[in-house]
Amino acid sequence: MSEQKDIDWYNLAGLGIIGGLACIYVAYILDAVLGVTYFAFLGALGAILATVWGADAVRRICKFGIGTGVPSIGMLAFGMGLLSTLLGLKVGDYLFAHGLSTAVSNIVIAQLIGPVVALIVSLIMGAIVGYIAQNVIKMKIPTMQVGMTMIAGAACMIYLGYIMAITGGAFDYTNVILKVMNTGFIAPLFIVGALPMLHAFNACMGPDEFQKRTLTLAIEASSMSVVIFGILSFASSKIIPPVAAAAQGVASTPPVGINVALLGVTTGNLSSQAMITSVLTVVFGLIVWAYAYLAYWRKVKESGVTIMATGLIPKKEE
Amino acid sequence: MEPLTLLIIVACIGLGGLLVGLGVHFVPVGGAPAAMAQATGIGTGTTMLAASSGFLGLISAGLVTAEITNGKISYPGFTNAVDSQTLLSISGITSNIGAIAIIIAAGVIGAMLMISILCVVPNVLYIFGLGVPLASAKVKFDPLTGDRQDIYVTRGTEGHGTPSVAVISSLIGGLLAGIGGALTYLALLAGGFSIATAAFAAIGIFFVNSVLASYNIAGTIEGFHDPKFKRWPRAFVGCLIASVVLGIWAAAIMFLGA
Amino acid sequence: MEDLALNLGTLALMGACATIAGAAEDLESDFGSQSNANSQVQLAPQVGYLHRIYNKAICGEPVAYGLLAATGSAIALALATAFSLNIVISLALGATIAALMYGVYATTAYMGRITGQKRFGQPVYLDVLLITTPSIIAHAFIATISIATFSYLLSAIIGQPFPFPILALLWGVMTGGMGSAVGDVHYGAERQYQAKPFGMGLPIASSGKIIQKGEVGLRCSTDIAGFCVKHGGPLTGLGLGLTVFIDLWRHIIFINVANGWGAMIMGLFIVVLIVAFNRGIEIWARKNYGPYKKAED
Repeated sequence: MSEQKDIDWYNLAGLGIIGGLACIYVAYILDAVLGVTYFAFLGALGAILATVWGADAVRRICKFGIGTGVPSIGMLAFGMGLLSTLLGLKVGDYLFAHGLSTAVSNIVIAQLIGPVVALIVSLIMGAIVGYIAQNVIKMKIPTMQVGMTMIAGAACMIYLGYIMAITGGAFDYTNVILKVMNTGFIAPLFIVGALPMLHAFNACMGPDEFQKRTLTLAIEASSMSVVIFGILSFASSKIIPPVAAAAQGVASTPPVGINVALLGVTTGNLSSQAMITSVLTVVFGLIVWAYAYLAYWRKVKESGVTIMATGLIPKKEE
Repeated sequence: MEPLTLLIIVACIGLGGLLVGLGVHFVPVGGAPAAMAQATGIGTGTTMLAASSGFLGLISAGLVTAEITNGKISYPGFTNAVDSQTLLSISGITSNIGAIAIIIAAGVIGAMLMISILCVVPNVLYIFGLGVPLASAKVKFDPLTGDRQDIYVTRGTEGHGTPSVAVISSLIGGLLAGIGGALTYLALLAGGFSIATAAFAAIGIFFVNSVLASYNIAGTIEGFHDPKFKRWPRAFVGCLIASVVLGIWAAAIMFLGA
Repeated sequence: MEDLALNLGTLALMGACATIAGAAEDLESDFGSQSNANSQVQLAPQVGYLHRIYNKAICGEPVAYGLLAATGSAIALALATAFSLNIVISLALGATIAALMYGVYATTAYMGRITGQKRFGQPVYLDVLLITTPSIIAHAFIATISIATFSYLLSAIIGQPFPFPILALLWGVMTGGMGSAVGDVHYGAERQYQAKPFGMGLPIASSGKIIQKGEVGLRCSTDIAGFCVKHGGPLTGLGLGLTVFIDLWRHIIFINVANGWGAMIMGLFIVVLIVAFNRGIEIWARKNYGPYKKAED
């Protein structure tokens, strides 16, 4: 069977970075200019592209055998990525509050700087940890340095994309702390965001592993994550800071099972705009998932593995 | 915020991460072979075993912090210090040392409890469900109890179960991981992060150090009596650098006005 | 006094939920042959032993249960907040969606691993896929709803300040760790290698030579879970239930003694008791089982 040439990993890095940032910016700009929140699902598309990038980087590192299993690298990447992403978004917020507060037809320029700073800080952190893993701990994996940098960057883009999906289109620091951290939604974001990146290689691992099949699985798994985050986004429009209610005379109830010092919840039904935004994200996720799952199944059949409906163990031809 | 307070916070985060990385080396991990009674130790991966014990420490530390805040136990001045972000200034530390001590103690006790149950319940299964005695194949005599080990090891295996020396080693590992987790959480809380942000950032830092330490161990380790334990200086340097850099990012967020 | 009664009652419910969660977790990992023992299931075709066991390689158990618990409880929180649904119904819906997502991961993992090793001749059995996956989803649901429930109780009634999806993530990782440490040993050493005599460890030379034949016909994952439910599953549940119960019991009862230090001292005392118990059973085993060979000196 002819070996098809793998897609070069710098090309995939370009897809992840440029594609991811482009999706996030387009979503933000369209939302701001039109004054709606419907385009949050484009942020999720950016996260799917970043997952493909990350899955390939994981593949390049783990093909050499890292000895502890594939999932730990994802935990490392997302652990690093969290503080790096928060720092980047905080810089964006700081610039808005202390100087660069120009807004062009509702687009706040300082907001657009946040994701780029987050990405740069993540890449730096990934490079430092890659250096530690390769030279201090002496893991002897040639692709470790570049691979770790890429995984950290991919983790940052995945965080940003899914944050847009959960908050319904916002990625400024205050909204992230209120709607993603204080609600506890960061917990599924961390693990459901990391898992598609790992699952792709971990599930396809073996001597007959094939890049196109692995990356198709990455798309399938991350689209399931989009569905989950779409469901989480239903709650976002009802969440307010804990002191805002009393100050503005907005009716609010204590949140279910969350410490009252962390956030408040408005009473009343969801606005139709919030409902449509969340439904769009969920439906987008389901459509991509159905398509990707069938594509994966087709690739499994094409690979030539024996598929039996039922039966005993086949006799090996000697 | 005062520069000295920020420096202390970075130092605490660096120290916390470092202790986690070191603690991982003390926990006896047999990995997949241990689940087949082929190796001494607990049958979970290195990363996640230390994570399990550190997390119970984090939960206990968080619970004790809440009890201080709502006044069930009395450490006056703690809540004000946290709200005004002066908890880790020099004066803040000296006046709130009792509160800081009990929060870290809660982390330690939680972690030690989890790791001891994780050692002992599998031993019950090994002894009564599999019918094997607990033995290590790396030493001839148990360094703490003096029991003979080699004749109790099945031929062809590297030991099975978690003998007493490994259990004590795991308690030391739990102690270090518990201090590390609670200290990181406290440092982030003192810098003005909300409770949830401080908790999850602490979890993230915990994972980074736990994974780096497990890369250093590269598979299985039986505890401080295992020859692989001598590799700890590499993890010391690695985890210290990684945690200090993460601490600098956290301090930058606090400086910009968390 | 009322406060104490409420807390202790909640604690009893939490302990029961944790026990169920631990047992369900271990059984689910036996249905799917996850993590530790899975290394043998993957090795077997490479040494010529083809089989009909489900090969679910998503990630280790701690990460998998962190995934399930965090997702289930976050969806529960979102539904309860957005639609003002009753929390019990939200928890059930959240656990269902999380378990379904997990089931899809399981199917792609089964197909993917076997395809990645197709040169060894192990086939993809569609009936194994279709019969075992619902059992996996069902047990994952039980474990998820139990973990999410006791995390919710920990946050809402006992008063732990972290948001309960974060608590659920932490407890999910701990549940997976417990299952991996306790239950997998029963599956990996006793059931998977049932031909090995009772009372010995598994020699390295026997790795990969798993039992292919079952009581009637070929062994499949359902047979494995049916065996492990008798010892490994309940013991895992006991381990997790003990952890949840002891840690919070010593906190609730003794937190007011010596301005909080009473709980710490009680915790230390319990750790010492556990280590002493371990020493006791270690000596019992050495005395009653005896060495494998005589000491030469």
